[in-house]
Amino acid sequence: MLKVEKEKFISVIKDNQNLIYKICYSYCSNAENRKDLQQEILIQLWNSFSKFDGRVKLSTWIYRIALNTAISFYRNDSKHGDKKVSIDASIISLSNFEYVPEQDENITMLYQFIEKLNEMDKALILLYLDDNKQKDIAEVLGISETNVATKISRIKKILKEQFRNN
Amino acid sequence: MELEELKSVWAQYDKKLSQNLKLNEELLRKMNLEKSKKEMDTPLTYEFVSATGCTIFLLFIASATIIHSNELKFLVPGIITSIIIAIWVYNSISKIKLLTNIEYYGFSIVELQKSINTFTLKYQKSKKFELYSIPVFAISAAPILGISLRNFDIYDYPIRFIIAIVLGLLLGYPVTIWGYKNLYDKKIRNTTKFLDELSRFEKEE
Repeated sequence: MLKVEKEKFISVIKDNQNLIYKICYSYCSNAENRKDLQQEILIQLWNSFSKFDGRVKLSTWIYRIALNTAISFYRNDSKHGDKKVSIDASIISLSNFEYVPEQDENITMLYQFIEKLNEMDKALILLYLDDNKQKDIAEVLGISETNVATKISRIKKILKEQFRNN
Repeated sequence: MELEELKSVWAQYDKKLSQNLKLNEELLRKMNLEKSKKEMDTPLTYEFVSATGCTIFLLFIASATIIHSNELKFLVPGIITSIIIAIWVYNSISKIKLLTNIEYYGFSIVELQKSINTFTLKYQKSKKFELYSIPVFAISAAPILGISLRNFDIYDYPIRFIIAIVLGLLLGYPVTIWGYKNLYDKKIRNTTKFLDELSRFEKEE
């Protein structure tokens, strides 16, 4: 039973590995911490897997857990030595070395911009860039749709300014 | 570059990630995820053990105080000790209440972060109280524990008791204040600041 459940979980992770990868990259600039955060997110997703009842979309559920874990991880970076499960290798990694995201100038600049945002704005911009609807962003974050719109327009202004300066 | 343009850059990036990301399924299968599930319950278990232990201790001190209530020298420290332990029990129960009300997988990000950080703040503040109350607790518990456990009256040795009190206060408090400032002061400030940020994030329109 557990084996079947784990295989189902692996398939869900496989379908959503981009999302996890991008969240880890946005909240941790350090590769070692990124690996720890990735493991932490997978642990939290596994722990809640049996509780997923389909009331919200699967992606909403993954965003919620992954972003919450990333925010808590980011805020407790002094405790990173206290790992729950110790695995040295990355579970989600780039297999093709021909593609190096760091060489993509716009992506690098975008990640640099995201890095400067606070924990909550990071979550908001990631949800926005991943083309989520304002309603879904509001649901994941727990704020009103109007509030989402206001914050996005504020971030747009800052971003425009940053890209102009670069 | 506009945010809308960046969205398409991001979509292309996502496409490239889909082609290049690899999930190490074998490693994920090997990960001891069940073990980590048990470890997640540690704070709650700790608080349950702490609340139960303190309640038993409180009952013991309270009954010893009642037994020796005819002597003021045991009644007063007994009452002080009981009050301190009662506050420890209350703090543990409040933390259990906060922890059991958190819906880790049902709350939105703002709700969950608020709950987690409210618990963290409560935890840090109760640690502050524990730290500050330890010297007084040690001094007040000594007479009542001595008489009830060993039938030993600490007041028969007033010099030793006075030395213990002076040492307790002179050494205990500077160490406590230093410990608190270094361990919890900054953490409390950071947690309070983040809770304020969350409230602003939630309300700001």
